[in-house]
Amino acid sequence: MKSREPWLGLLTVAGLVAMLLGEGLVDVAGLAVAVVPLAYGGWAWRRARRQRP
Amino acid sequence: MTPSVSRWFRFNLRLHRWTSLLATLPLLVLCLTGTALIFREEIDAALGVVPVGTAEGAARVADCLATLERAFPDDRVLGVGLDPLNHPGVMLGVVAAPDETSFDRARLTYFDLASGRMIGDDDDPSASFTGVLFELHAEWFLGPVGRLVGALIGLLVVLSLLSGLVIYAPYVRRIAYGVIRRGRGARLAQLDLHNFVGAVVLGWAVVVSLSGFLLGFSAVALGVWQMTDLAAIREEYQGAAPVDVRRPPVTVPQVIEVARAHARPGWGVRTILYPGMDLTTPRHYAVLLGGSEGLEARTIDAVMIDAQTGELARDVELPGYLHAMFLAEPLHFGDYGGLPLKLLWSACNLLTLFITANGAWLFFDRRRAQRLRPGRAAEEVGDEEP
Repeated sequence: MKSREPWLGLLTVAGLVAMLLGEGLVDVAGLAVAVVPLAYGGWAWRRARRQRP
Repeated sequence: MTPSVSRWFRFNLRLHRWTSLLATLPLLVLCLTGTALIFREEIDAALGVVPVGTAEGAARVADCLATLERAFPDDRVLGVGLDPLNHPGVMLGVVAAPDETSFDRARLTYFDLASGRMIGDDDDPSASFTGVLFELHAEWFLGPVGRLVGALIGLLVVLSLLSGLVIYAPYVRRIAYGVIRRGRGARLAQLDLHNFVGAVVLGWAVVVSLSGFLLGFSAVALGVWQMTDLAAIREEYQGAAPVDVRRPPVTVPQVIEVARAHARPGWGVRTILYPGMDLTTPRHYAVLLGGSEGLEARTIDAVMIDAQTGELARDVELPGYLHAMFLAEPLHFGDYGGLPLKLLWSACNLLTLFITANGAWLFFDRRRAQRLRPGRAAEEVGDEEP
């Protein structure tokens, strides 16, 4: 994953398009996929803060 | 770094710098107005711009139209709108001076479908708070030309994002994802923030800027459709006698009935445009039909109904570029997934606002540093390293 994090944006694109095409569970799944870059970024940022000397 | 990779990198570095710089001010405005426009429906409801219907009782379109004609006897009706998904129980009536053929100088009126009462009247829709924001966001107060300006900004942002993707890796190769190097100068911390936040919002930003780029051509696309497909339809019906556009023989409730009979299962009438408009013929109503779920709620079927006989004249096959416009709108405004999606849109919008401002700061700080140390290499990747 190192240095390839921006490519996670493809998940956002896929999730948002899935939400547009579907309803119900597809909507929920699409949203979950779309927020992966944000969630992963938040997790990485917290981890980095904890590891800071 | 091999020479060819280096050239590719430098090209993208320059592209990222200059496209971003050109787009900075407009993008700041777009992010600020866009954040408010995500909640346009909620703001309009809170300000009473679009009144709320009772949503009970049978729809009384005929009563609503009778009220409309009594209220504005000197005007003509241009169109009727029904939006059961976002504004249940409300009918929109659009009126204008008798010689108007477009919505440019139209008055919007709202009716309670259950009672036929007029519950709202807006003689200048663009003057509402969100109307002003929208005109700034979509047209820069320049009308249709402003939309093309918006498309150009969208293109600059797409180029900036894609070039940013190319130049990202060399900048972050020495640090773990999420690390912000504080305590080693403001520039380094801001650069880390720019790369980190940029990576987080990249996918969203590509979707919004690409859809914004497409939407910038919406007026052009509609014009092309009018000059090609609609012109052909008009030519076909050139011999048909026009109807009195103020009082067509076939009424709107009859039109709704005919259109519903021909609609796909689950689809309903969304918009009815009167004969004699820019988007209709002098003889026919145009009816836009929409679905209620998923993609169908975002796509449109169009039919033309003879205002003299009440017969379905034709199904209008809309071209792919118009369907692309219809799909670009929700992908740009994020209004198709309820509050969770609006919150995601807001968060990404604010993060984009941040990297736009911080990117500009990085650019000008670098210029300042170069002025102080003119011998420094201008385009080194390690430029930002301590």
